[in-house]
Amino acid sequence: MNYWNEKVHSMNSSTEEKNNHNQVPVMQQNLELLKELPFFHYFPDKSLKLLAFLAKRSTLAAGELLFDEGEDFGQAYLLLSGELTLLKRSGEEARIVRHYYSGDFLGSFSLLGSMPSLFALQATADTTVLTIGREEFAKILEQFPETGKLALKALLKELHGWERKNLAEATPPGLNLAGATML
Amino acid sequence: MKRDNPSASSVTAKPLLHWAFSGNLKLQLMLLLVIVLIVAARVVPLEMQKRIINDAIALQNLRGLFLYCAIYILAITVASGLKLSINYLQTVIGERAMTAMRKSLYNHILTLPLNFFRTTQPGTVVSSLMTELSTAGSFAGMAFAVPVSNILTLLAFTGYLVWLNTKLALATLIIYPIVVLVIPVLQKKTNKANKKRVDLARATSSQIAESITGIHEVQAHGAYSQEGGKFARLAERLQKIRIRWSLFRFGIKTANNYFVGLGPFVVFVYGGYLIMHGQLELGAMVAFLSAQEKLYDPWKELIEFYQIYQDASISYRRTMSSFDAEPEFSPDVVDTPAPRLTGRLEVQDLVYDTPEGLRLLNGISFSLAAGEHLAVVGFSGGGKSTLFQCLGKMFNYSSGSIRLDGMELSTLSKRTAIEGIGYISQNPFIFTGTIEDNLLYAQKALGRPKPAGSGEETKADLDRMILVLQQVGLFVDVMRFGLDSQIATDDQPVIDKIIRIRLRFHENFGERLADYVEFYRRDTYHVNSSVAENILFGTSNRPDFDYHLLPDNSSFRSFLQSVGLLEPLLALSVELARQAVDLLTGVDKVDIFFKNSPVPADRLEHCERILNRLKKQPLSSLPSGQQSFLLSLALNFTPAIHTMTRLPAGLEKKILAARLAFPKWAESIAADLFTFYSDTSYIHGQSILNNIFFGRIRPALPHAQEVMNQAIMHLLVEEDFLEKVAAIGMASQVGNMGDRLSGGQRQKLAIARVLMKSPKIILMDEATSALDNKSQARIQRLMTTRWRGSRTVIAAVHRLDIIEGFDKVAVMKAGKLVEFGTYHELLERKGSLHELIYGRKK
Repeated sequence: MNYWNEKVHSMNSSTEEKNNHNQVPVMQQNLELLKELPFFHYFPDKSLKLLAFLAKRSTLAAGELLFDEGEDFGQAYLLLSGELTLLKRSGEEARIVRHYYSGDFLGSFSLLGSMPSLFALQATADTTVLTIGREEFAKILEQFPETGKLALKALLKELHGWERKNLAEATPPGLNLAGATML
Repeated sequence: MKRDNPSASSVTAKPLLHWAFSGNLKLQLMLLLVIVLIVAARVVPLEMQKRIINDAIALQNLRGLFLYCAIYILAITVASGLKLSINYLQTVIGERAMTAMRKSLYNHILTLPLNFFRTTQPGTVVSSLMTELSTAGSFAGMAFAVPVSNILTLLAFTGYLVWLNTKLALATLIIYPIVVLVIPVLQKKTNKANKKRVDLARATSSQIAESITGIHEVQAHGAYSQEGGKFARLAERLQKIRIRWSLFRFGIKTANNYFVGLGPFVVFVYGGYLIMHGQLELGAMVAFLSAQEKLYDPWKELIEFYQIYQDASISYRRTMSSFDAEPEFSPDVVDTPAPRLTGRLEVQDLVYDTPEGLRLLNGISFSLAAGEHLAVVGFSGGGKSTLFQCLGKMFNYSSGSIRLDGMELSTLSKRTAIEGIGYISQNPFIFTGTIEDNLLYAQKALGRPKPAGSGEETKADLDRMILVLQQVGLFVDVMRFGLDSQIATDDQPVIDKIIRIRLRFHENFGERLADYVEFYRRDTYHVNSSVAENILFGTSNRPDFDYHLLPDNSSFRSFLQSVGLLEPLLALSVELARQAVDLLTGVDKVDIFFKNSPVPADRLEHCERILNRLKKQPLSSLPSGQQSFLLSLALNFTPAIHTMTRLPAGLEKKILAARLAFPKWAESIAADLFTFYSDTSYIHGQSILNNIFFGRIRPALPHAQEVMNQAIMHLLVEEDFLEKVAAIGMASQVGNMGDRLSGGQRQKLAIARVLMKSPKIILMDEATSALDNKSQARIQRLMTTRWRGSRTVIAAVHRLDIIEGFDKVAVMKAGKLVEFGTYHELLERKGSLHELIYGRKK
């Protein structure tokens, strides 16, 4: 018996092994998760299946950074377990913008094109995410041309929801600013 | 402004014959000697023929018969031997001439002005050098030998004929002047067709090059028939002209054959008449007849030579004339001691007009002290790139002046400019080869090769390369390449070192990195390893027992049978095949879809056929080839990668049991057939990194790489192994034109290669545009901390948030320098820079 094996024996915490008793293939699990997301709601079955096949699961230890401000991370994340925190830096300080929990889907905009992030995203607990890469998504759009329109529709819906939530109650100066840039 | 350089352009002006003789004079003289000998050896058999009939047969002289026959056969043997040596010499001369032609033309092409290549497709250069010059080359080989040998042979035979019988000789020879009159007429038409053919062939290859270069656009627009049509029209025209050309060529041959064929006719009619009247002996007529026939060969060769000469000179002229341009700068590699520059730069009223008369730079003036940094910003199309190319002495400017240390740039030699100025473009070109090749590219071009020999110097060189790689932020990538490499199986010191690092790694980081690496353990199933690796838990020491050959190995199959794995694995294979076919049939066969597929793209249809067959027939009825193919799917199955299927319940236990039984089976085949994984033995066929980990990395996010990198680097430094791995990394291939590198890596490598030659002036034409924030910041830091004051930097910048760190800022607009000053001065002025940063004022 190798001397370090005892040490790591109890530590293997990767998702594949955790789910090993579950006889549903990982891709199938991914597919069920993606189907639940409004963003992919109208996507044809075959395209979603491929997307589920191309999606990757990753784990993060608490404290690890997914991406920093200004980075173009080129991925969307579906949080499977744990907690992610969005941070805005100013000098040395980092202000917490908000938290995300299991089931939250982040970064759908960045699937469509280069978008340097305005924030940093950090795991604040041991976390598992399902990631979809921009390159993979672009290939899906190319393979199933009808999905382009569907993605656009989903984005507009998201944007509209955001505006309703954030701009309808905004104070006049803020509204002016948003009006000039967004609408 | 332009300097004429008559010597450089003369490559294209040289006559075709120049290549046949220059440098080949000795060979040509040797050839001449052999030719004279062969002509003599050719006439001898004729005389022998006559003597055999007249002296030996007619006079019943047996001794004479043997003697003459012996001389005859000797002469023929010698002639054949000489002919072989002529061919050999001819080939040598031809190939030498062609190589010389190619080399000098290629060197000439490399120095042609950049403008030249805007209108010349790479394909044209390729076909010119490789195809069109080859006719000219083979002609150069025969340019001397063929006419001389054939004319001499012709003269010898004619002389012999005249000596035999003057009247008869003159009668037969009358044919040849007629031929000489007819053939040039036909040749003229051939030449006309040939000229068209050469031009059309060039147009066709340009068209191919264009379509292939723009293949992305073609496929994006589905313009298959459009591009196909362009090509088809040219190809059809080419077909017509080639048929016409061939017709004339064969016309010449036929006409020649016809006229020459009349020769024996004259001999029979006139010779027969002379014999009947007792003015000619029968032996002489036989000799005459064969000599006359022998005239035909040299004559035919002469005519062919004439044709080849005409064709070759046409393709040669056409080819050479298309590259008949002047290099803008003499590419002097002569070692004139280059003056050491300090980097002071003054630009005065700089103007650049394109050959078409477009004014791209319009009166630019500014000056920089040595070591000052200038950011050039402005709207695209403002002339930034043109300014940089003028400063880098890649174009000659039309008027005005650029002075380096007070010396006019146009009067400095190209070498001085290259040595003092480092130019980095936005889309740098990376050459096929290793990282190190690319890193040393600029340095080698200056004739400062990597010092070989003493270990001390090489070490200094390695240190310098590592330093530069660190400065541009490429070092981690290079280390990664090194760690992903495999090492030679006999490199024992390195192997020992890696094993030692492995032990220390597990002591220090084993627990912390257990989330990122699946460590090898004898009693657990590894989801990041294939089924086969899980069974073997080792690597074979004999190539015929490699992983990929195991499915075909019948004794391995019976082993699987004996541990009860064969059936379940085949069932797993069918499931994998079914999933892959279901998921991937009909999608593009691109890497992104197939890299995690258990079935490779090119075997998907094969899978489909097998599955169809299995609908009607049982598995056991499949031919053994298909069975082994199926088995290979299951043996390659890696649960962490092939997520569409799970390892069926119970199979894991069976595989672990098989792992325990496997060594015994291996031993029964041969001793030491496999090396089994153990923490003290090296795993050949796996990367250095896997060997240090003694396990396989789990698929992870980029941040995980960083965590692992830090851990590994730390250990490598402690074990004094960092430089070795860096050297291995630098020796790794960048792929075809660097296609294995990302855009950012390519830009970093391009910056590093310029830093290696440490120029005084660095021109960066948006050289960091593909870098992420961190890398960009690193380069920025490098500029402010290490270059300020020592290297003059001029950088075209598209990101305005970084220009504050520059000493001066210049704003360009429509070929003019509209603002120049420090960042804060320009902001206060509220002019163009202010507008660029904060937008147009309302």
